[in-house]
Amino acid sequence: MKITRRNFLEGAAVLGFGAFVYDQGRRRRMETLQADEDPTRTEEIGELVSGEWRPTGCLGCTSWCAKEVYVVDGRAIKVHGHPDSKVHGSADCPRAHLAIQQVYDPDRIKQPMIRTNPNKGIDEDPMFEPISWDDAMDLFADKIMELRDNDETHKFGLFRGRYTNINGLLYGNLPKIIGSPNNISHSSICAEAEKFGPYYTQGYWNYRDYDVRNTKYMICWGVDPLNSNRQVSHYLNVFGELLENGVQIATVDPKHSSTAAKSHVWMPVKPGQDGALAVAMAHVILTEGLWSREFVGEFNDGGNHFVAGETIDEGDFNEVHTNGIIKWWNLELKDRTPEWAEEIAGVDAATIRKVATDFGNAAPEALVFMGGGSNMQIRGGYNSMAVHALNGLVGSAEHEGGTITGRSAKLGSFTDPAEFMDEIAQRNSGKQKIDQRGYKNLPALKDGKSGGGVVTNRVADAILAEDPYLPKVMIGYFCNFNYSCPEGERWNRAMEKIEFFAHCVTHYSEMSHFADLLLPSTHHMFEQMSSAAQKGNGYTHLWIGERLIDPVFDAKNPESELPWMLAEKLEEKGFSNLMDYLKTFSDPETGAEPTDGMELETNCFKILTEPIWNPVKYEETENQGTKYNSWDEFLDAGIWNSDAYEFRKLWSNMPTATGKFEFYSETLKNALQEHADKHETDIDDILATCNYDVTGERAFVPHYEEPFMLGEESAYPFTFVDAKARLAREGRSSNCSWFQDFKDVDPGDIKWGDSIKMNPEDADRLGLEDGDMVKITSPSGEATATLKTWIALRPGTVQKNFGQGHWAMGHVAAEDYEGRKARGSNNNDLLGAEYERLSGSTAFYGSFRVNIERA
Amino acid sequence: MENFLAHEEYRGIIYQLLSEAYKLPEEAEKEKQILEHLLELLPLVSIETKKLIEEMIGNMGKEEGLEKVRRDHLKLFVGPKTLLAPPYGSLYLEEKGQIMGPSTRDAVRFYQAAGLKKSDDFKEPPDHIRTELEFMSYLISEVVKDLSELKEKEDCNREEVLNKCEKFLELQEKFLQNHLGSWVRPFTQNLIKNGDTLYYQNLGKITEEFVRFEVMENLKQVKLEFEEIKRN
Repeated sequence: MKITRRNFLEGAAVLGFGAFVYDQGRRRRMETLQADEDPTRTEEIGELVSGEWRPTGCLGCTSWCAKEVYVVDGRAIKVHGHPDSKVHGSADCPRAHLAIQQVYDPDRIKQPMIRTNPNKGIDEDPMFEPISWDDAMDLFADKIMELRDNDETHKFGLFRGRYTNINGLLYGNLPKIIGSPNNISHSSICAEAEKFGPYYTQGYWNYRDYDVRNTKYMICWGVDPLNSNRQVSHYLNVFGELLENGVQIATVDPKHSSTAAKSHVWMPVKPGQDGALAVAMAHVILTEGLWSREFVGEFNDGGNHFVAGETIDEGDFNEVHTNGIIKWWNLELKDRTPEWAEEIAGVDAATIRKVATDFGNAAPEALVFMGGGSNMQIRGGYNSMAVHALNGLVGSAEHEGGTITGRSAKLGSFTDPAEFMDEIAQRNSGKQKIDQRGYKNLPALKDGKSGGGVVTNRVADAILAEDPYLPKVMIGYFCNFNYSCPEGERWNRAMEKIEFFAHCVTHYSEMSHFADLLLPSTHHMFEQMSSAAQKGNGYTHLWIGERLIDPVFDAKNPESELPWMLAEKLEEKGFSNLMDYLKTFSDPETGAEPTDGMELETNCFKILTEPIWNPVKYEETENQGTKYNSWDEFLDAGIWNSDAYEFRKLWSNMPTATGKFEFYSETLKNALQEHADKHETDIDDILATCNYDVTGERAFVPHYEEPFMLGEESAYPFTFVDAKARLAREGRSSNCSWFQDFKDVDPGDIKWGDSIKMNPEDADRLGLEDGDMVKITSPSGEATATLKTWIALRPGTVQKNFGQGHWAMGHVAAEDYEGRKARGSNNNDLLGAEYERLSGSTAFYGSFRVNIERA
Repeated sequence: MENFLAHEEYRGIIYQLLSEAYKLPEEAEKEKQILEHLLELLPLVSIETKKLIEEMIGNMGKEEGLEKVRRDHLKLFVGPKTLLAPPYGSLYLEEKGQIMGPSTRDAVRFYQAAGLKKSDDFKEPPDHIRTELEFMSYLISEVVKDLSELKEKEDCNREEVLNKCEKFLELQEKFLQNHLGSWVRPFTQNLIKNGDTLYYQNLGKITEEFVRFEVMENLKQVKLEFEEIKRN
């Protein structure tokens, strides 16, 4: 019979069903919806309510800008700079906006998942299956307990990519309590060589700030602050003002960068030859008598005896706040004329002379803004010293209008983990870290110590060689080393060897492919409490943001909720040290112990920032900046600003061996000697082992080193210029459609594609045309890209932006996500895994040759 | 009235069963039970669904059936790789490739108007296919519950009950129009095209068939019948 609504009851009876299905239906209960008990709820379908700007911050690069997010009905709608930040005010950078596309990306990891295919490999399907957080943490805890039972807790390791202010708990202390030395950060694929120069001249291992508002002359050297780094929000805003006010700007970069486009002078240095340019400029500043008498000092007779080619008696010069100016002259500078540098650096002598002279004349309100381009090179350590030393020479280090170190917020500290480390933990956490830092060929001299810094990219080789040992149980968060490290293929093979790897991230990345547990992470900007501090514009700000929206999926904060859940499981299995430790993270206001991961999250930030929001602690710690009366008041404002920088306080008070700004670095000499002694050899041998060709005393002054290039010029005729795409949130934003739609905001790049740029003269010579697909080959790999002819690049070089080349991350980032086909190519497939070994920094620039041919 | 209530009860159960059919399958027997119930009900509105559901039951009963269906489920709706049939309304209604858009918020406002919110335990955006199907089921079941009470209890405030039922019928109509009914076709087309198993291909087909029937025919009829009840 035909059943219609009219005869439904009758028809249903005829078909012989009824009561049973009714019962089934009635017994079913809702699973995705529940009664809304909110008393303010209306019965009507309401209009969109108006939103509210709420404070937070952006970790899309190391600028760490303070932001406000417009939240409407629990949804993040838009972003702008926090108007109360003294670093950048309401000025913004385009990258922050992509964060909204990240958080609302349907490709995010939605729930914990477990690998069911035990075989790991690039061509293996991990066959991930859902698992509850509870079961996932239970399994993770089992793996850690196995290490503890076998007294091999040092085989636990943690990889940290980006992070917030409270990372000291997960990254700093959790591995120690478990009993491992292995907390591996990403720092050496980020900077380190850039910090090497400032440290071994003025004792400062960090990024610097620049007092651009008071400067008269700025040299942007291997840095593109209008594009990618640093404080892009601030510099995009202030650059117009600088130009209007007549500030002279020179940019040193092999490519005509965004900053070069807004500069008065572009010095297209040959990749890797920054050192030649820097010492030649120093030569001019001295021979022209433009050094700072106030900072450096003067000749006893008041004259100028810096004459090209002539050595000087050290006793003839009375040095003030610096150390070793005459040694530097005699050992290095006396013969480094602009004419000598012209051919080597590829910048004509007249330009070198003019920039150095104008810079010296403008000083001390003149600064060199140094980025990684000039020094994250195989022989870049001394470039870093030479470029930064120009600030010392003209007395602009720590001076108005010069380069400054910035003042930090004084923060609270977490409980010392020492008393929660049992005998196993104490013993095993003292073992050699797995990145081989401090090995003879990897001094990594952070803070003046042999093995003081991380050598992130070395971990892959160390795992493959099982030297010092093979880690077994690892967790990584906010990181994707298989993509972001040169020669990522080594990471693929290395991660295959890790018995158990948990990856806590927002997106399934190239590294996740090797995970045993996929753990969905909250997004730092919206879904978790978050905080970071950074400097710029002569101030330091520290921003803080509450959870602005509910996590979109079943995501947890890796820095607080995850350690809590792990501690619970470890406690169940008889190891309560971590939980005992976490329970010391009491609420500073109420004294109450945390009872879950969310409370731990809040308490961590409260403890850390107490010297900011608690007036008593504020006075005790002598913080100087915004004053708050309570946690709520601080949280509501979401930002603390330091007072303005105090200039010249560090003059003759620098944390170097001599207390001075060192042109002759006793600090470096001590560090190298300690490292040489450790390996029972001499400094010359150490330097040779680290690919430097300097010997003797020149090793302690900023000096020219011929670049160490990977690839013979005959086979690989082009030097490769890597740069970071303007919209790349550290390689994580490629799955945002805006990244692809606006890819051409990197001049010369193409939307939804990947291009390599070449000077038209070179293209003509090779018979290549704009739009041709080309194959790029280096000694370590190959890639393809669309050729773009680009006049704004020195001949003999090719330039390609980092950011494309994901085969994972999502269906926008990858051309064929399922088929693991990347959109474009990853620059890291072309760069060999090499290092500026004195700092531990990975080399990204000035060290690589490639060949280009039609694909 | 009885005929109306019976039909609405079944209608609500179909939505509920379809919602459950989109869960990650855990046990073959449980899934077969859902399908068997659907087999009893759905062919009443569309005889074409009979064969489709029978195929789904057969598919589930085969060796490795459940495992294959689970794999298919993860690829279509969960990931971790690209979702081959993303189960979120905003992706179809807004075409911006983003979840939690204005349309998602609009769906939430519908839930609020019916006194509901997304379950705390359900960690997915609120315009998930399961939620939207379940919401329809809830709206219908409330009408059934209220009218049943009206029939059975003499002390009911007839006008108040009828007003609420009318509102819930309107919510059904508008929700189908603005949400479920507006994106179910491209969504189910994804299932049909990208599903590896008959289970999901056919689930796509029967879902589309049922919702299409609802939008095109059934709801109009429901409203007419309700008007009749009101008049009597």
